[in-house]
Amino acid sequence: MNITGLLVHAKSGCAENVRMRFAELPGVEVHATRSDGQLVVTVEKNDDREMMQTFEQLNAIPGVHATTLVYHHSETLDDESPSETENRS
Amino acid sequence: MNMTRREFIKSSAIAATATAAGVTIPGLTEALAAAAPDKSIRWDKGVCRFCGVGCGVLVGVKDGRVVATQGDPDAPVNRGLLCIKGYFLAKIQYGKDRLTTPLLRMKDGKFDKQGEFTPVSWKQAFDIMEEKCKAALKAKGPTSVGMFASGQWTTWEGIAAAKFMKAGLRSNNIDPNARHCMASAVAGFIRTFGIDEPMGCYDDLEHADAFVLWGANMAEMHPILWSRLTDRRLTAKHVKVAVLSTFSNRSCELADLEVIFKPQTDLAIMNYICNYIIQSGSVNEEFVKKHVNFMKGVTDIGYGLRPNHPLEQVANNNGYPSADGKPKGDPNAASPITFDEFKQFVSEYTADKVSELSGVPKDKLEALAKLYADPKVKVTSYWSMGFNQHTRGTWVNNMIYNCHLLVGKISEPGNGPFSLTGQPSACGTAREVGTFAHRLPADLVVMNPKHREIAEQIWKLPAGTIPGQIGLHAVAQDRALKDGRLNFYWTLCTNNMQAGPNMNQERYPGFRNPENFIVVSDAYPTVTALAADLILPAAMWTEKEGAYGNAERRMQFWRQQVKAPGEAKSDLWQIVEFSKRFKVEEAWGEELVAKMPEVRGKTLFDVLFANDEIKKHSLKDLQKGFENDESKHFGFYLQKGLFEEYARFGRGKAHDLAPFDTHHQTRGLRWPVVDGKETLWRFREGYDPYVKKGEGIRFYGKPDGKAVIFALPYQPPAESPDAEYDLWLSTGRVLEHWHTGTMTRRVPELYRAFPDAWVWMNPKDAAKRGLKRGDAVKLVSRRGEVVTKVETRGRNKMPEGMVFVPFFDESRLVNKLTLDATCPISKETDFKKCAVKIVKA
Repeated sequence: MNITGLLVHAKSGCAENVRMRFAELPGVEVHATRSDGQLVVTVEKNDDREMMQTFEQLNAIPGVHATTLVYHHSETLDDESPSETENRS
Repeated sequence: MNMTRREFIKSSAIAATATAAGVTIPGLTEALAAAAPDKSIRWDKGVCRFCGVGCGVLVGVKDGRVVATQGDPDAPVNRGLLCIKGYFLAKIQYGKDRLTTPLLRMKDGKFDKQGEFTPVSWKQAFDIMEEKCKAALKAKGPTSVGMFASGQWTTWEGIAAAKFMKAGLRSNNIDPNARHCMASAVAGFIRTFGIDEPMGCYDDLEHADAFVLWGANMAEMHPILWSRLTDRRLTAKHVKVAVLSTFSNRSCELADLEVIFKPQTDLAIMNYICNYIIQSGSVNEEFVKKHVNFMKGVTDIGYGLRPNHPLEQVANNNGYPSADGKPKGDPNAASPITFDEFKQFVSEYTADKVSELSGVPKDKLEALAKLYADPKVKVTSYWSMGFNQHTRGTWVNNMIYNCHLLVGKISEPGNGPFSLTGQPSACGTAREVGTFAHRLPADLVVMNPKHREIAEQIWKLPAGTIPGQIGLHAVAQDRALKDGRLNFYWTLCTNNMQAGPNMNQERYPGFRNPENFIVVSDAYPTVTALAADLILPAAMWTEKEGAYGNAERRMQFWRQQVKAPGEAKSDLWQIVEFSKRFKVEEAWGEELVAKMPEVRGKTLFDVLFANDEIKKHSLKDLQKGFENDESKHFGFYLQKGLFEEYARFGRGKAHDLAPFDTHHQTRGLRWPVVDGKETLWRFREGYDPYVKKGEGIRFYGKPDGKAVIFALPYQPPAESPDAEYDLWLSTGRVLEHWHTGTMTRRVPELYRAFPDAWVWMNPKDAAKRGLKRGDAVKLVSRRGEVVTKVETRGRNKMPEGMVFVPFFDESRLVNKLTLDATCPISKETDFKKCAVKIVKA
C-alpha cells in the first residue's frame, strides 16, 4: 500500500475545474481547496508505477501549475499480501 | 473512534498536506487525536538524497525499515514540501538488486580480468586491493593510483578520502564527479571573488523583482526552489521571469520573457548586456569605483582535448607542454585593464550583431538587458549545467558576475547571482572539503606551499607529506587509465561510466585495460560497477550517519536510521578500514618517516584516523537511540572526530562551520557561522560578520577587497554541426529521474512511467528525415552511436537543428556520443554541444 499526500498548485480560476477532473481519477481524492488555487490531495495506489503515472496525469491536467509531495507512506498492511512492487529485499 | 490502519495513514497524509497548505480540515485533528497514537513508527529529521537544493525530510522507520517520508515542515529550505522524486526516498534503499557482498572477477578461484563476478569476503576483497595498489605504488609511484570521488558523499566520507589519498598515499589523483557539474562555477568564483560558493541564499526567492534563468530548467531540476519562485511570481504581480535556454522547456511555461538562443552565444549575450548597461548610462559608478577591478583574460586557450587534437595544436594558451617541454601559456592568465578599455571591448557586442549571432530578436535582448540595467529592479540570476558544462564555462560564470557587478546588484536580499547545484553535497563535500585534484579544505590548494603547511599542521603530518603537483582531473583520469599511466583506481558513490563523456573512446577502454585494476563501490550494480574488476557493496543514505552541504552554504546532518543489508558498508568504513592495510613507512617512504620517527610501525589508520584529535570523541557522545555502525566498529565517534578536525581549517577564515552537535540539533546553518549566527548574504556589512563596520561591502576573498570584471569574448564551441553531422546534441536530465537513474530506476516496473530516453527533436527536422514520432532512429556522432526513438511532443520543444537526449537511461548510453572537450580552466566537460546525425534505425 502506498499513500501520498500532494499539494497541487492550480492556476487562479482553474481550481474548481481541476478538482472535478481529479475526482475522475481512481485513487485520487481532494480534501480541501484554497481560494488561491491550492488543493490538498491524496493518492492511494498499491503499485508504484500507477502512482507515478497518476502524478503525470495530475500534472498534465490543464490549469495545474505544479504538483509537490508532502507525505508518503509505503507499507504492507495486514490485509494485503506483499506485492511485487512492495519490493521487499 | 475506531480507525483502520489504512484510514489512520491516510488521515496522517491529509493532515500533513493540509498543514503545508495552511488550511484546516474540520474534524481531522480531533479524529487523529482520538485514535491511538502510532508508536510503531519512529520519526527523525533527515536530508533528501537527491539534488543540491537540500530539502529537509522527516524519515519514518518501522521495524528497522524506512516506510514513510514527509517534507519537513520545520526545514527552511522546503517548508514541508518535496518534489515528486521524494516519492523514491522510501524505496531507494530497498531495490531488489542491492549489492550485499563484495564481488570479484574470478576464474579458477583466482582474480582474472576476464573472469565472472564471484562473491568474496571483505578480507579477500581488501587482499587483492592491497596487492594491486601496492604493486602500482612500487612500480610507478603515487601518480599511478587514483580515486574518483562524489558530490553525493557525506562530508566525512570526503574528509576521509581526501586524507587517505593526499596525506596517506601521497597522491593528488582524487577528483569528484562534481568536476562534471560544478567545476566551472568554482573557477568562476575563485577568479572573480577569490572565494568559493554563492554570496546569497534561497531567501532571495522572496525578495527579487526579476528572476533570470541561464541554462537552468528549474521547473524540472530544482522543483522546490521553482515552487518558491512561482509563489513569488504569482503573489507579487510586478515580478518578471526570464528564461534563457537553447530549447523551450517546462520553465518557459511561467516565463514573461522566453529567450531561445543558439548554443554558445550566451557569451555574446552577456557582453551585449554589459554594453547596454554602459551605453544607457546605468553603471553604478560609485560601486564600480570602490569595489571592482577590471581584467582582460587570455583567449587562445583551446578546448581541453587531448594534446594531439588539431584544436590544441593551434592553441597557444592551453597550458599543455610545447615541443621544448615548457607549458604553452596559462589559460587562467589575465592582465589589468581600465573601465574604458572594458567599455571599448564590449562595444562591438551591439544588438544587431548579437541578435544575428544568437538568433534572439533585438527587442528580447533589450528587455533582458533592462532587467539588469534598471536600478529599481532587484534581479536574481540562476544557472546550473547550461553554464557550467561549457567549453567556456569559467568565462560564462565570470561574465554573469560582470552583469551584476556593473550595476552593484549583489550581496543583498533579492539581488545576486546564484549558482545552483546538482548533487546533494557538491558544496558541502566535494568543494568545501576539497576532494578535487588541486584542492585542500576551505579553499586551500595543493600548489601553494603555505596551504600545504597548514594542512600538514592540522592533520599532524611531517612537513612535505602532501605533494605539490596537481593530480589528474576527471577527464585526465579517463585518459591516463586508457594510456596505462593510472593503474589502481577506486570509484565510489557515482556512476561515471554512464555519466562521463566519450565513454566509448576513453573511459571504457581505460577500465578494461589489462594494466589496470578497477574498484567500484556502490549500492547497486551500475554500468560503472559492471565495468569494474572488484565491486564493493555500499551502505547508503540513512543506513549511515551523514552530513550534506547544499547550494546556499547550509550544512545539514542526519542520524543513522536503519542497518545496511548483508555485508554492505559505508564508503567511510571502506576507506578507513582499508587504510589499515598500509604501514606508514610503506606509504610515505623512509625520508618522511625520519621526520616523525614515532609513526614507524604504525598504519595509515593509526596516523590519519585514530589520532588523538579524532579519537578523543568517544562512543559516549553517539546519538542516543540510533545506530552508528562505523563508530562502533572503530571504537570512537569517527564522524565527530573527522568533522571537528576538518572544521579547524575554516574557523576564523570565513568558512566557519557550527559545532558538530549544533548541526544535529538544527535544520542546518549557513556558513560562516560566527557566535552561533549564520550568514545569509556574504560580503555586505550588517549581514556578514567578516565585513567590518564602515566598510559597506568588501569582497574579502581578494587581498584588496575588490571583485573582478573580466573582458572575455565570444568564441565558437569545439564541435559544431556540419554537412555530415548536421544537428546539435544536448544531453541533460528530466524531473522523474535523478541523474543516471541508479536510485530512481530501481523500483521494479517503475521506470515504465517514464520509460526510456527518447530523442526530442523538432517535427520539421523529423519530417525532413522521413521520421515521425515513435520511430526507431540511430544517433551517430564521430565517437559512437545509440539507438532510440523519436519524440516530437511533450515538455521539451526543440528548435530546428537541435536535439536533446536525457542521460538517465542505462540502455541508451548517450555518452557514447558526447565529446570530452572541457573548459580549459575548470576542466569541466561540455555535455551540451556536440554534432550528431540521425538516421532511421
